Amino acid sequence: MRSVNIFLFWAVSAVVLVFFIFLPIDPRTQLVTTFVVLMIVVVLKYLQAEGATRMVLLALATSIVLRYVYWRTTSTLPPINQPLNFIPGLLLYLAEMFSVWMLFLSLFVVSRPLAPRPPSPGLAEGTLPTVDIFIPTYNENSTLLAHTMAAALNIDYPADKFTVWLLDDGGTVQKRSAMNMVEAKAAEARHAELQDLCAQLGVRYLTRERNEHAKAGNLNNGLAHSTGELVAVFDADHAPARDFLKETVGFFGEDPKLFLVQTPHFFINPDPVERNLQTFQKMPSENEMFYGIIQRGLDKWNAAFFCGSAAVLRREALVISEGFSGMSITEDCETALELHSRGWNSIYVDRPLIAGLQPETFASFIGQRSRWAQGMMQIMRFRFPAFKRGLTVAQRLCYMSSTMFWLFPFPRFIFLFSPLFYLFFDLEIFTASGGEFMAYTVSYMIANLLIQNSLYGSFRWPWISELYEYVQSVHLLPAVISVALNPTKPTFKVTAKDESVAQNRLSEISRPFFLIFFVLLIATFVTGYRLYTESYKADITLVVGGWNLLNLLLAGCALGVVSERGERQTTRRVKVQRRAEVEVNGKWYPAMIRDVSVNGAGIQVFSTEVEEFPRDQIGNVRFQTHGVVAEGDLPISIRHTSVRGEIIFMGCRFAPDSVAHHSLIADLLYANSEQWWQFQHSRRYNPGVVRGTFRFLHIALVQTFRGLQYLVLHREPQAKTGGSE
Amino acid sequence: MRALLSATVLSLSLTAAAAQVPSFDMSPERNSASPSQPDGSTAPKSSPLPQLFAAPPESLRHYLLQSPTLRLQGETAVRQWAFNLTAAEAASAARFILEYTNAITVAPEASRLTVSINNAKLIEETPRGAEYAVQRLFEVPEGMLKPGRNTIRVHAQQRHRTDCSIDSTFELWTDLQAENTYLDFDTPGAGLMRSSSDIATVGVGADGVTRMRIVVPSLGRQAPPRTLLQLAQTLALATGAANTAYSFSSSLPASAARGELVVLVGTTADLSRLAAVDADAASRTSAFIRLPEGGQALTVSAADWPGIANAIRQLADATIPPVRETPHAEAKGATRISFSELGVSAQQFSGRRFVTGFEIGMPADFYAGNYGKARIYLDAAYSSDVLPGGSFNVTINGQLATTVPITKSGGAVLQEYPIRIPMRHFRPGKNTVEFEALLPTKADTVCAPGATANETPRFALFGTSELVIPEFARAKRVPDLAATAALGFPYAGSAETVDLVLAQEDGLTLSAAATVLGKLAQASGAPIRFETVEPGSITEGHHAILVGAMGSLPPDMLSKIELAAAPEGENGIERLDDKNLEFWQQRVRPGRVLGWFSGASEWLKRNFDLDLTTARLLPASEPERQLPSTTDIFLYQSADTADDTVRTIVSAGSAAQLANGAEAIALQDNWAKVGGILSYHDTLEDEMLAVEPKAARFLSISPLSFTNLRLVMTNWLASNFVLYSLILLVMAVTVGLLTNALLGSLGRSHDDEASDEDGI
Repeated sequence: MRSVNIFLFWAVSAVVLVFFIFLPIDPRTQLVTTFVVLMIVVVLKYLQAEGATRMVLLALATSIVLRYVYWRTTSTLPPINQPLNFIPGLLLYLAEMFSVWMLFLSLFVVSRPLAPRPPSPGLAEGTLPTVDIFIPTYNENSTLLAHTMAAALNIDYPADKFTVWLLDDGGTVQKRSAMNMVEAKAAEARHAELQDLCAQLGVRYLTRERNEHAKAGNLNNGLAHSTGELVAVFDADHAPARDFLKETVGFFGEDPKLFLVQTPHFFINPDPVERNLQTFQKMPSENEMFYGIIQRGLDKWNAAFFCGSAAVLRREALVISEGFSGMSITEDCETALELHSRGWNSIYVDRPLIAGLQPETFASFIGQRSRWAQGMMQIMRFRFPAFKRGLTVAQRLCYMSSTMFWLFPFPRFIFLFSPLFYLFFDLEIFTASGGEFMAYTVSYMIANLLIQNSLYGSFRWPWISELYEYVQSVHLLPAVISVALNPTKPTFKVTAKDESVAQNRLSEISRPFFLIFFVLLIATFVTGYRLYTESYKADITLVVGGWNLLNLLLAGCALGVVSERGERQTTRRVKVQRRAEVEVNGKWYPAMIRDVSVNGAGIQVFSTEVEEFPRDQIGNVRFQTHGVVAEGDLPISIRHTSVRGEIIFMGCRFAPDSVAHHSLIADLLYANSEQWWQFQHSRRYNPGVVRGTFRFLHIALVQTFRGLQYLVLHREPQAKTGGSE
Repeated sequence: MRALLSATVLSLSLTAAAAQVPSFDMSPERNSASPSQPDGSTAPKSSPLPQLFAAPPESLRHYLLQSPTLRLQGETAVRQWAFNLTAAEAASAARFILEYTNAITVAPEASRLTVSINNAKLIEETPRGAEYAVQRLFEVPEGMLKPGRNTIRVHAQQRHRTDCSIDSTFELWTDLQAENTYLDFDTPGAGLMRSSSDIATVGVGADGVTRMRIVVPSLGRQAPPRTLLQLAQTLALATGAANTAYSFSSSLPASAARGELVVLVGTTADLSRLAAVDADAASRTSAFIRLPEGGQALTVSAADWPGIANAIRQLADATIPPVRETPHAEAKGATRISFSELGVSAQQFSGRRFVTGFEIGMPADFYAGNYGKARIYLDAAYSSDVLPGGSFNVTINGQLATTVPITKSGGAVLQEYPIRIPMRHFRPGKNTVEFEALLPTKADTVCAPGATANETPRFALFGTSELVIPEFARAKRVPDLAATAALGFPYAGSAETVDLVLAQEDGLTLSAAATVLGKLAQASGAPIRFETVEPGSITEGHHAILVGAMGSLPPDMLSKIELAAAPEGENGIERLDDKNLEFWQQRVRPGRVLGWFSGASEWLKRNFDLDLTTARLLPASEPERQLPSTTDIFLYQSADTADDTVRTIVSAGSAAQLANGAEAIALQDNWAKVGGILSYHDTLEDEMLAVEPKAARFLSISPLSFTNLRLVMTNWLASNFVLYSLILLVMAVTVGLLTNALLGSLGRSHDDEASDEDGI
């Protein structure tokens, strides 16, 4: 009853507010009002408003946005009888309105993200449900799989209550009897090798006849062959921490209608954007906005969805939905949508419990995003969430927000090219005076930045969303258009995670970025020229030219993104603190492991006998494991050493020759989820709109020059002839 | 650099143009700018006229102009108005005598002055009045003149002798001199008025004014002021005179000058005592008599004063009021009207500054001065010679409303090209809209000899262009002298009679009252129904008009008005008024920081009409107003808060000033400027000034629809913008807090206390 009253009050006051916002007030009143409101918003922002005050901040800033919407709709569209102006003008208008609509959806979703959940209630030993751990694989190599499987086996859960399954789609009968002899041979070899590996580790190997329905089909095959009450899914490159099940399984006991506990995807390597911009250590990763805020926001509305990995699902629910849905190529979200619509619940646990790998190259990054975008478009097409029966209103909005997000390439492109209509063709697609632009558009942009920063502040720095959207849009736009034209065509393509970039080079899909950059650069020169020659309309030229300059900054920054840095170290090191002993020539020394990668470790040895540690010296390292599975010594080969006082710093490469050694590496790398949490938090802070903007400006300038430098020096590194003309 | 410079110069000239152009106007009722206006060109000396013909005596001239001088300025200028003729005049052979001077810069070979009567061309003259005033005589073709209403249209097309700049077009002018511009009729006595329907043919004097001399033998004794003022209204309507002057006296003049209407009012007994009045005239309710030394007088008489009141009513019924000069169109609400309906037809233009204009009427409850935009959808074309850098300017009531730069080179055919005009400059009643196109060409920058004479059109305006006025707020408000002056609001058509308070019943006060009532009657097209009452006995629920010198009006009614004492002695010392202050402020260079600040505040003022020093939360109460000592008359309007009636006070320092001032405000140019809460005539500069109220009181809002209420609220909030900000702020905060409460009760929240530790 109380909430009904609050709702009525809220609705009435919202209607009154909108009534006042939608008065056709004059620019003078607008200017004064937005100035006053924005000042208050800035002060609230500065005071780090929380709770109710934060809602006030958002409501104030939203009022400015709505005033802009009203003005933009009623006063700025070019007349319809000038189609050359009207059509691009309308497109720009629609793009802006789409952005505003998405802003409102995200306000709804994340205006109050669910606070981190209290730890899962422990279940009594005897009542623990049985769990099947599925590791679907397609083409990943055996070392990677060994680590993932070892980490899965290392999970802290009664051994008789869980089974690890390797679901191999690379060794299906269909693959092994392929027409292409080379491929068939490779599949055969893979089949044998993985079977052998699984046998050694104690993992169930499963493959099937045909590769139908891609990952969904593979998982369904796993379901058909297993019986556990719960199903945990880990991608082949997602190694779980020891506490994965302890943190998740307990929730299933609380709610019998719970079908999903999703956890974040934490990556130990940077994505290509972070790698090429060198922001991985300093700035929150792109996906942290999704896992740090959006999933928590969705969780508030019981709409956290399955992200394909790092999640636990209830078999009973999957049976009802007839397994994982395979209509789209994003089976995960689709499955969650289906089960939500049938009244099942999901929760999201905001604690990184797996560590995964991101694609190394820009091209495979784009490939991955294309799949997500196309899959979400298919969901929009086949199971339009707004009209999906059984969903609550809130869930409908949440799913619309998640799927419609992927339409961003359209507005992004329109924003990119709109200034050019004026600068190159003198079209007037936005009718407003310089003063009105100040009073409405600029205040809207400021309000928008403040809202974004208030919502995502420490997870997403200013202008970074725009950058990510831009670098994806260039190749996602055709992908999204193709799925709109032919919604059943896209097929599931596995994202390659094991590539590496050995030397500096331009991405193979970098050409359009340079093209766009130079077009915008020309437009910038045109701006200057027109300012000089057509001073009678300098105000409009300045406004449009400024907008184009902003686009040029984004495009310049993107040049850095597609200029891939060659890296000596192919795998990312993770900082750890693990006491150990190192054995060289039969002599044991006390030591401390400081950082670990899949291939090696950095170790401090407490010794002064540096001559005992020459290069290529073979030795062993022994350490206290977190898990129970792995024990024993891990062979190493020394790569380099340096001495500082009483301590020898030693870089070494692992030399595993048995499955047990892989388990030890997995234990070192993955067992402790606490370290990932700490790493993420070290990057999470909010630089604020102003500082964030300057920071972005700096990155953009540096990256523009780096991109241009790569264009000159590393244009065709792969060319066999090695020819630079 | 050169292009940049010239563009700067151009933009400067634009502002200058907007500031100094006397508004062009097709109105038949407006005078031109005063000829003394300094414009840099050498005015021709007025030298003795070469007398080519015998001028008729002054009393026989039918003067035509409505001001002493009619100035036609710029490359194209048109004036049109109407005059009335008796049947005998229309039938008579006539000559048109024209006297004019023109600027020395006007190139005769490329310029033309055209006069048309009733849409037929009468005169096409090459202007040669640069050296001295030229007087010309033209035979009027038979059949060109009509009995009753005739229209006259004067069109000057002028080109500069040497200069091709847009600035130079402001130096082009031709002045028609009223004193020697008239019709001369062959038939003797053609101008005699024979029946009451001829009253409108009284015409104007050499100064453009129509004088009503009301002679009342029993003035100040039995003659009731109410009856006399009803007569004044009847005369105002019957003559349709644009500029009126009333005088009341008790003795009959020996003659009536041209443009003078002598009206003798009295009982039969009063009139029969006068030698000039024969028995026949004295016995009729109205008649024309000849005055001893020339001219006529109209007699109005009856046995007693109630009978005279009846006679005046009969007179009113017998006169055919001349067609009221109204704007071509009135915007009663959302309006879409083409230029041709507004009287602007398709035309081509070969000069560099094209100007045309029209009028649009707004209702008395027009209330959209603070928001909203009207639009002109322009159908026009300009040739490929026209360079970007030109512009289309729209001026409303003399105020520059909008400037749209021409940005495309290579010519263009514009179809429904939108020009947005803020509604700010519109007001109730007649609004003059001027459209100007500045059309620079490359040839103009070179300016070869004879270039200005080039007649290749560079611009065309089509009559299909449209003026679109959106739905605007409608609310009747007080004070609003503009609505009163232009439309008689709220006195016209008032359900109750209007209470007229005369402080004194002398001739001077009466003439002021007659002026105001006559103007109001003309504005509303019908006589105002009024009763004269004592100052203290205004009936509740009746609107009132109070006329009298300040000392003789009830002091409480003028508590907010004060007339400054005249400065001691020394004539010729300039007052340091606001204008001089501005003058000095412009000449003091502020320090750098202050400069930025004042630069920013000027930018705000220019672009947003925003003056933060005057911003306040709630409408201010009306302050006391001090009028300059040189004020001769003022109008002040207020609302009686008890019964929502309107009081308009017409007052002056003394009765003599009141009568003088009444003649001044009766001039159509001055009357058109009446507005706001207070309007006064300053004799120092001979100008009419209006003071806007701090706040207005709503009398009624109709229709009481959601749409109208929303628009009324918009306009009110736009004028109280701080309040709007506050409302928005309060509502947004409320919604924010309620959203917070709502989010607490909706969706999941496992821990109410926990807040988002990272989300800051």
